Amino acid sequence: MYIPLSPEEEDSLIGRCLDGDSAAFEPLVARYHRALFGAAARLLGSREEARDVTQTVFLKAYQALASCDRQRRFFSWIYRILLNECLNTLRARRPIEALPESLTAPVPRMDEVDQAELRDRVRQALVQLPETQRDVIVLRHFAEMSYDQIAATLGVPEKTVKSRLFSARQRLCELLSTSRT
Amino acid sequence: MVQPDEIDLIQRAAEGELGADERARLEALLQRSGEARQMAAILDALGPEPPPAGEPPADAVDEIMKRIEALPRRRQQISMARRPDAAPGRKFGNVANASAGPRSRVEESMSSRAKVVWGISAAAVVVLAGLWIAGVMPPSPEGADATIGAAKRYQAQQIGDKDVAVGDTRAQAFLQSEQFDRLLKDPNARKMLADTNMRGLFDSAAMREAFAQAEFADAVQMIAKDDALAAMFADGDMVAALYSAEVQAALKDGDFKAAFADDAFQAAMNKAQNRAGFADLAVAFADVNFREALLNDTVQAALKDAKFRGALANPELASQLRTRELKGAFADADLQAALGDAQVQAAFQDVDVQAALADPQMQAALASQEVHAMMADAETRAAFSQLALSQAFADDAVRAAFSQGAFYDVMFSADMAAALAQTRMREAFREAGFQSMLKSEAGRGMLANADVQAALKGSAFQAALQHDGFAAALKQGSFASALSREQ
Repeated sequence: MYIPLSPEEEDSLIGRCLDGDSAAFEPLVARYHRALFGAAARLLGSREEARDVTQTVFLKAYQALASCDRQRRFFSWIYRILLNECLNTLRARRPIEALPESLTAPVPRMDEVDQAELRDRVRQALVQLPETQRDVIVLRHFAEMSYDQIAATLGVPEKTVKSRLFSARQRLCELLSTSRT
Repeated sequence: MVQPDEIDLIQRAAEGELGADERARLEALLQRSGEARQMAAILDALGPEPPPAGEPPADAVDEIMKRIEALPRRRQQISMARRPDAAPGRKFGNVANASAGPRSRVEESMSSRAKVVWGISAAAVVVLAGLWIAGVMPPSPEGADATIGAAKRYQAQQIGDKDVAVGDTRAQAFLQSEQFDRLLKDPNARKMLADTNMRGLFDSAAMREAFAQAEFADAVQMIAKDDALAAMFADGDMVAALYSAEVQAALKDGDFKAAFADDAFQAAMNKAQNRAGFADLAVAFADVNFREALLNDTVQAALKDAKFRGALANPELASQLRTRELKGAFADADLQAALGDAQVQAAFQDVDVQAALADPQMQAALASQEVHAMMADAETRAAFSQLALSQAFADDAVRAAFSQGAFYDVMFSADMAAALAQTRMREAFREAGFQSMLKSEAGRGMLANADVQAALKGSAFQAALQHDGFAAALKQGSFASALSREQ
């Protein structure tokens, strides 16, 4: 469950880190690690990969901390780093394939293997989405954020979040539609 | 084709927002539309689900922080100068600046415990870094058969609760490591770690962080391995100098670091005589004019000249160079122009000129204002450039004659000048007969005779001199007798 630090706390911790106090980074890691790990695990479909990517993301964030816009939330910034890392991993995998026809059967019967394969393809399709649509999909479905939390993270109204989510899901379906094969 | 309101229905279903009636509508939709089923399956794949393999690892945060703390600090790194007596090719590695300021807590600890620090074995230093980063307090050297947690590979004294945080996974990991095993087997490390002063040294996050850096550890190892170097760092004066504000500022200066990292500079400092003179040179470097002069290409070229350096090394010349007069002379634009003249430079390089300038009499002449005035005259300079004149003055008799005041006065009298201005007179002086007359006492006596001078001035005598027969008659003894009877 995503419970962010207050903006004042985040700003204070970031400031101390930039002054050379590396220990000040630990509260940020402890608070946001679970959300980022969960998002990475769902995006990549692998616990081990998610662990490695999350670790890399926090390291990169620490090293690039000076570039963090402290007027905005820390999570929105580090989430972007995570997403890029995950997308790079996904891009290295096999390209998008159309969904199997079994999905269009009158009553689709997918076993666990089919479901896992579908999730994998959905993750691959995320790479093709525009950034604004991809953000809302990941934060809603992989980081388990509420609409208002997504709105705060992305710095947009809640209505915009819902609208983008609608468009993103539709686009995802189009990408994976059997009619494209 | 799925309609927009049906898409909305499917999406709201993915959000769990449907009421009973809407769920029935959705079921009907899914029954009749393959496209709707596909869409629902895709959105279902996006739906919340537990992570593929459970919660994040329990030590994930600790692992991340461990890697972050191992990163280089957000500071400049400094290079230490080659130790003066070090073997060729040996250099220090970069040393992280572990101090937070001119006299941080770390430095205060180091200043009083440097001897202990630099006396440790290299292996112990490396192990200590890992030990302290893990936050593990070392065991007492007194042995005891006990094990800690899962570390069952060694015999060690049991570590109490106050020493190791129970459940500290970093500590556990370190206790199972090769580094910890080596630490326990290293008697120097065990002995040192029993020292409370030593343990206090690491009671600083900055110090631990410094030791965590490979380059810093390399430098400490190098110092620890070298007895002379370790002794140097144990020297109170040396340590005090290192922690002075001025030295700290210098060590942080980019140009300073670049200079000390320069191979040529290090090679120069390896020489004892250079080190001996460095203190004086350092004083000179305080003068901006001196620094600028050293950067001047012309000065650098001159310093490369062994003769120039030899001249500068001459104590007498050095003493002269310090006089106000000479400094003033060298500041004179005309002199600078003259010294820059190729002909003048060539003259100064001439061995004959050098020999002449070394002659005290020449030096006295050059110091004479009269000589200066004479040489300022272009015609005089032209006369002295004549080979005949230089050859004449090469004659000791001529120089001796000119040293006589009376001769000097005659030669430079107005009458002689007028006589020499006449071509015939100058030709007469070249006549061998006239030269013979001048050489004979009788001839010189005749020329000095007032009657002869009066007769020589007379037009009758001059006319007779033009007659060729007059010269022949003068040789006749009877002619001379006749002339004397007439009187």
